[in-house]
Amino acid sequence: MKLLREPLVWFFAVGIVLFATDDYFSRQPGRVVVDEGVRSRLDKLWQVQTGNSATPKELESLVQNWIREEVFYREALRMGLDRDDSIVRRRLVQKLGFLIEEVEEEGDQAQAVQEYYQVNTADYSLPVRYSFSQIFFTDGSRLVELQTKLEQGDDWRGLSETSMLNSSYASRSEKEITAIFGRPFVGYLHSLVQGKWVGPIKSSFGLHLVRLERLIPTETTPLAYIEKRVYADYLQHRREVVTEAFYQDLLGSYEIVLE
Amino acid sequence: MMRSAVMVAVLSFCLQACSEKEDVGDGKKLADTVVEPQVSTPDFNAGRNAYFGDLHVHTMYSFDAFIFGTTASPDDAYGFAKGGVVTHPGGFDMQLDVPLDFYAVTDHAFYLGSLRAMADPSTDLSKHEIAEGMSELSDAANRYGHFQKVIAFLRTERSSELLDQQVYKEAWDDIVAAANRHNDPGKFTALIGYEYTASGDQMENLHRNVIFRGDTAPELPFSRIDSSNPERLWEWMDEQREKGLEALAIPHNSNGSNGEMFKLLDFTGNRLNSAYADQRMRNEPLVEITQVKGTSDTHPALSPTDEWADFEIMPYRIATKLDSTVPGSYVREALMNGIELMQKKGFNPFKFGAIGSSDTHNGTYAGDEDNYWSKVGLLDDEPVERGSIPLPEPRKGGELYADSYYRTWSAAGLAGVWADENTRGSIYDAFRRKETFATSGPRIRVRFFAGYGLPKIETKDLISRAYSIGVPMGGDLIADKDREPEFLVWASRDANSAPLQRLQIIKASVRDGKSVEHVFDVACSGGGEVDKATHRCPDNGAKVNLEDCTISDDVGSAELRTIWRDPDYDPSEHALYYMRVLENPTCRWSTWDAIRSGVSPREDLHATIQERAWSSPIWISPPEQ
Repeated sequence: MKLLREPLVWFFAVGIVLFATDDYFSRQPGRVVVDEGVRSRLDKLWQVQTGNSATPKELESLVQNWIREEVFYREALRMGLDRDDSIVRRRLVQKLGFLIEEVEEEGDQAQAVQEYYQVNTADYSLPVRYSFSQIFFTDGSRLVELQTKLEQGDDWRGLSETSMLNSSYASRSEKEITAIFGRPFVGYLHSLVQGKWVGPIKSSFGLHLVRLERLIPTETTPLAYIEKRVYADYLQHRREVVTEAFYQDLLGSYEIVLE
Repeated sequence: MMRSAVMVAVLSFCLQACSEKEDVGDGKKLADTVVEPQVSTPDFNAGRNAYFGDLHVHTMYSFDAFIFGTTASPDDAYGFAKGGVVTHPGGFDMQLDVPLDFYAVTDHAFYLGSLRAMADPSTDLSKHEIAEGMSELSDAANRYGHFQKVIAFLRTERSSELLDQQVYKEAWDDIVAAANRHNDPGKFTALIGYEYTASGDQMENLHRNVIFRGDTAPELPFSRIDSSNPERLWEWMDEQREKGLEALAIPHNSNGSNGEMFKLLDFTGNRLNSAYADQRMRNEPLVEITQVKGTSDTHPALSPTDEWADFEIMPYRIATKLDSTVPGSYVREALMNGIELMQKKGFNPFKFGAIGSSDTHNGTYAGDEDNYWSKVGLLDDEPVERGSIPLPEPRKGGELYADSYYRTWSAAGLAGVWADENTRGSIYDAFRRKETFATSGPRIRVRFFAGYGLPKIETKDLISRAYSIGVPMGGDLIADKDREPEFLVWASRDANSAPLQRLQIIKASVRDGKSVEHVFDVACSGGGEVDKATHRCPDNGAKVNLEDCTISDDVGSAELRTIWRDPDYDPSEHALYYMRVLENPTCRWSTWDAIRSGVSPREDLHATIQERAWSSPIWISPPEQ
C-alpha cells in the first residue's frame, strides 16, 4: 500500500500511540500531577502578563488555580461535556488539520512540479487576445465620408475624433476590452477581420471602425516563467492530497452507519 | 563603435540625471530605494496612462477584520486584486469585473496578527483575559461586542499586553513577502503598506495608511502603541527615509475626526508653523477623500453654495455613534485654510492631492452599488443589518430599522493615478507628484492641466503639449500679471457605469484675507450651454426608475472636455482649483437592497446618488513681489 510509504502517515501513527500512552499515565482518574512542566508554563504566562517572574507565593496561588481548573476540566470530560459541542469539535478537527497540512518540503521536487504543470496546463493558459486599431466617431452620418477617405488611402490616425481612447490596443483580452469599451462592444469581436476596417461598431462612447491587427490564440505560459507560482500551487495540491489520503485511511478504521 | 560608446555615455548620464529625486521641501531629497537601470515595460507612455487601485485593504491580520470573520490572507487579497475570487465570511464569492492595476494591503499595525493568535488556544495570547471568547465568535452582536472590548482595552495603559513581538513580526513579514511575491512590473503593482491607527481621547479619528515605495520595509511598523501622536509617525518616517526606506502616509476618514484631522493647532495644541507644514507635506502629500465610511470632500454646512456637497456624508466618529464636528473634518476646508495660511504666514500644511480607496475589512474591495460588499464581514453582510430594509419586528419605540451606522456607508472608492507605466516606482512617483484623482467607485478618468496658452481642445497632440506648456493635477503655477491661465478639463466615462452629466471646477481663493469657494459647471452633457450668470448647466433630465434601477439611456455624455478660463480671476490671490465630474444619477446600494427584498427604499436615505471623480488641485500663487 502506497500510503504506508508516506513518512507523514508513520509520523502520525507513532505520534498517536505516544500521545495516548502519555495521556493514559498522566491522566489516570483521580490523579492530578503538578510537575515542573506545569509550574514553568504558569510562570511564563505570569511573566507575559505582568512582566515579572512569579514570586513563590504567587506561583502557589497560580498552581492552586490550575489544579482547580484541571479538576473541573477532567470532570467536564468525564461527564462528556466535550461531546456534541460544535466549538470543541471544530477546534480539535482544526488542530489535526494543522498537523496534517505541514507538508515537508523534500529535496528535488522539480520533476513532481513539472508533472503537476503538465496535468494542469489549463490553469496556466492565457485567453484569446486581440490587437486592433480603431477610428472613433460620434456622428453616424460621417460613416460614408470616413469609408471614402480610407479607400483613398488617407492616414486613418487623422480620422478619429478626439477622445481618451487609444487609437491602437495591443494584446487585450475580452475582459480588458469590456473594461475599456463596455459590454455590448465585445459582442462584435468575433466579426472582426484581420487587416480590414469593420464597422460601425457601437460602444459606450459612440461608433467605431475597427481593424483587427492580430488575433492571438490562447497559449500556455512556459513553466520557466511561472515556476514559483506553479510550485506554490503544487504544494497546496499536495497538502490536499495528503489530507484526503489521511482521511480515507482513517475512514477505513471506522464503520459508518447511515440510519 | 565610436557612436555606440557615445550612446552608452549619454544613456548612463541620463540614468543618473533622470533618477535625481524631487526635492520635497526642507532641502531633503527623497530616498532612492533601488538603483537599477530603467527598462521600460511595454505599456510605457510618456503621455501617461490612467491606472486604478485600492490603497486601503484589511485582511485577517487586522484585529477587527479577524473579529468580523475575515480569513482572507494578504496573499488572497493581492490575488483578488489581480482578478481572483475570495469568499466573503457570509458565504458568497467576491470577484472584480475588471482587475485593479495597483493595490496595497494596509492592516492595522497595532495588534497585527494578535487576534488570530488569541483564537488559537495553544498560544500565550489566548490566555489573556481579552482573548476570552475569541475562539468562539458567533453572531454579529457577539462579534461587535468583542470588537468594542478590544478597542476599549487598546485605550488603557495596559494596551501593549496584547502585542506579542513574535506574532507581530511573523504577520508583518508575511505581508511584506505577499506584496513582493505579487508585484509584477508592467502588469500589476503590489505596494507594501500598513495602517497607523491613532485616535484622540474622544475617539477622534487620526488614521493614516503608510505606503512604501520599494521592496524592503522596516523591521516593524510604527504603530499607535509606539505613539498616538501622528507627528511622531512623521519623525519615524523621516528616519526611515534617511535609511533609504521611502514612504508616504495618507490620512483617511477625516470626516470622523471630530475636527482633529485638519485643526489649526498641532497635536499638543501649539500654533502651526512652517516646520510643521514642511514635515507634514514631506510625509503626507495625499489624502483619501472617499471610501466605504463616507466621503470627506466637503459637507453641506461648509459648502452651502455647492448643490452636490451632500454626498455620502458619514456624520459619526469612527467606530462610535458619537457625532463628529464638521469644521476641521473635511478636505476642501483644509485646502482653503492651507492657502489662507500660505498668504498670511508663508507656509501651507494642507497642500494635499486626492485619492479614494475602499478600507475593506473583507480582504477584497467595497463592491459596487448593485453588488455591495460593504466592509465589516459578518457584521453587515445582510441588508437588515446595514439598515437598508426593515427589521422583522420593529425595535422598542417603533423604530423600523436596525440601530447601526452602516446605513451611512458607501460602495466606494478608487484611487486613480497618471503614470508612465505600471511599476512601483512609476506609480509611487505619481503619488509624490500628486498626479492622482479619486472616484466614488466607477473608473472615470479625469485629466486636468493649467497653463498659459494651452492648445485648442481638438488638437491632436493635446496631452503632450499640455505637459510641455502647463502643469498637470497636483502641480503649481505662478500667477502672471499680464496673462490669464487656462485650464484643460477632461473626463471620460466608465464604459460600464452611467454616462457623465456635468464637468465642474471647484475654486478656492483668498480674498480680503479670507478663503472663499466657488463651484463652476464648465461643460454640460448633450451639448448644453453653461449659464453665464449662474455657472450652471441646464438639467439634462436624466432619470432613474426606482422600481428596477434602470436609467435613461439617451442622455448624458461619454466624454466632457473644455479649455476653461476663470471669469473671476485675480493674479494677486492665492488660489487652488480642482475638477469634479458627476455621472447621471443611479441607484444607491441601499435602494438595490430594498428593491431586491421587495420593500420601499428607506425614506431618510438618498435613493439615488451621482457617482463622481475628483482631481487633485492645481495651486496658483501670486508672483514674488
